[in-house]
Amino acid sequence: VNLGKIVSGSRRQSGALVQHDELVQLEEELRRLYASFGLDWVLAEVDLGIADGFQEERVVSRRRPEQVSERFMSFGWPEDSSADAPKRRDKPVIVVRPMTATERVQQLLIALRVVLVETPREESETFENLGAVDGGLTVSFVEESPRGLGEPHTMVIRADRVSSDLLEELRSKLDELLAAVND
Amino acid sequence: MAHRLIEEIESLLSGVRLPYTSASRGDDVYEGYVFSLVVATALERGAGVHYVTSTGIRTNDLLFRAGPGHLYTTDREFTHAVIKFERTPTLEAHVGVRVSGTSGVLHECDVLVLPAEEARISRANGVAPRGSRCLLAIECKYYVATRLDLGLARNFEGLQADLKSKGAIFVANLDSHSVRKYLGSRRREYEHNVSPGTYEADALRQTVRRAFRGYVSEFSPSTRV
Repeated sequence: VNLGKIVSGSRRQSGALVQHDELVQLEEELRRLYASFGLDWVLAEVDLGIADGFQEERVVSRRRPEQVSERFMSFGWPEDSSADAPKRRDKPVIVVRPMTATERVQQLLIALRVVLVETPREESETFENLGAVDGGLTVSFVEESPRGLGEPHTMVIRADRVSSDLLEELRSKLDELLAAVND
Repeated sequence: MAHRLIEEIESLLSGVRLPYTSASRGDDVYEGYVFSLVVATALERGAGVHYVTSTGIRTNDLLFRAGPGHLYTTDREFTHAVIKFERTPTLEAHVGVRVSGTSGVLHECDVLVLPAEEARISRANGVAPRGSRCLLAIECKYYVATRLDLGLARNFEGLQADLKSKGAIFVANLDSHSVRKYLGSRRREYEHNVSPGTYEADALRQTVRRAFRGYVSEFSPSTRV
């Protein structure tokens, strides 16, 4: 998928930011990437999020239709308080709707950034924060009461899980992708 | 461009082996990270900090519970931080322990800061520390997708109401409209998007600092935190 061309091309032709078909193709590529790097559990979480839908705020008017102008039916009215401005009872509420193709791709990219960039950074910064005491620390987690007969769940935190250069490169590329999709 | 970027990401990932095979691994990392923010804030504000095992031995090999347990158990040498501000009774910081609400019901607390005296009572009597005596009770939520559902906020609301702790804070690595709106309307402490380098991580540290300052000022008003 050549998103750069899609973005500029679609802008010229129809004003749409990214064509739906290309986003679907991009989503397929990202899903393949998840599968090939053993990130199926992340994908499952993302899919639950996609199934939950997209939350957004909207103003639902409690007044009779003739009392409210159409432009205040969605969230984001102007700062000035004209006679048409929403009254206190027109509070914004959260509504849920199915995600668009763009939002699905955004979810896939955000999840990659959390797992590939932010979580290793949290490991690394944990050592910086704790290591200021003495240095030479080890940090691990273990289940106190393991379920079943298997080995208890353990997790050793590491400062050098992924090199900082690699993290920065991954972050930069994921942000570039997100920016292209957000445009 | 997108295709090229995905290929480049795949190429970068070819040499990386991440141990996060389930969300619970990420939970552990996140709780450790938030715990470290508390410790770093204490250090920055002039406290002395060291780590001890559940039997009181100093250690640099920190072992935390994956999943909540009891502060008073000594089956494993779980670690906590000992935090000491000048002329102020000692504090302890724990990961993954249960605390008792005013109803007597036990609640899980991901990161807990409490007076060492309350922890001593807990160990001596084999009972959970009282939530109302805790300085900070931080609920950590690690998610890979933006699906922080309202049930989490409701649980936190119930926890705070029962703990009667002013220091209850809801912390998450991602954002959610509904959770923010729900907790905000009830004036509860919460921070979303808390991860390295974010404004919200700094904001959390400020909240932790205020909790330390409030505690220290009770005993030593002249000590600056």
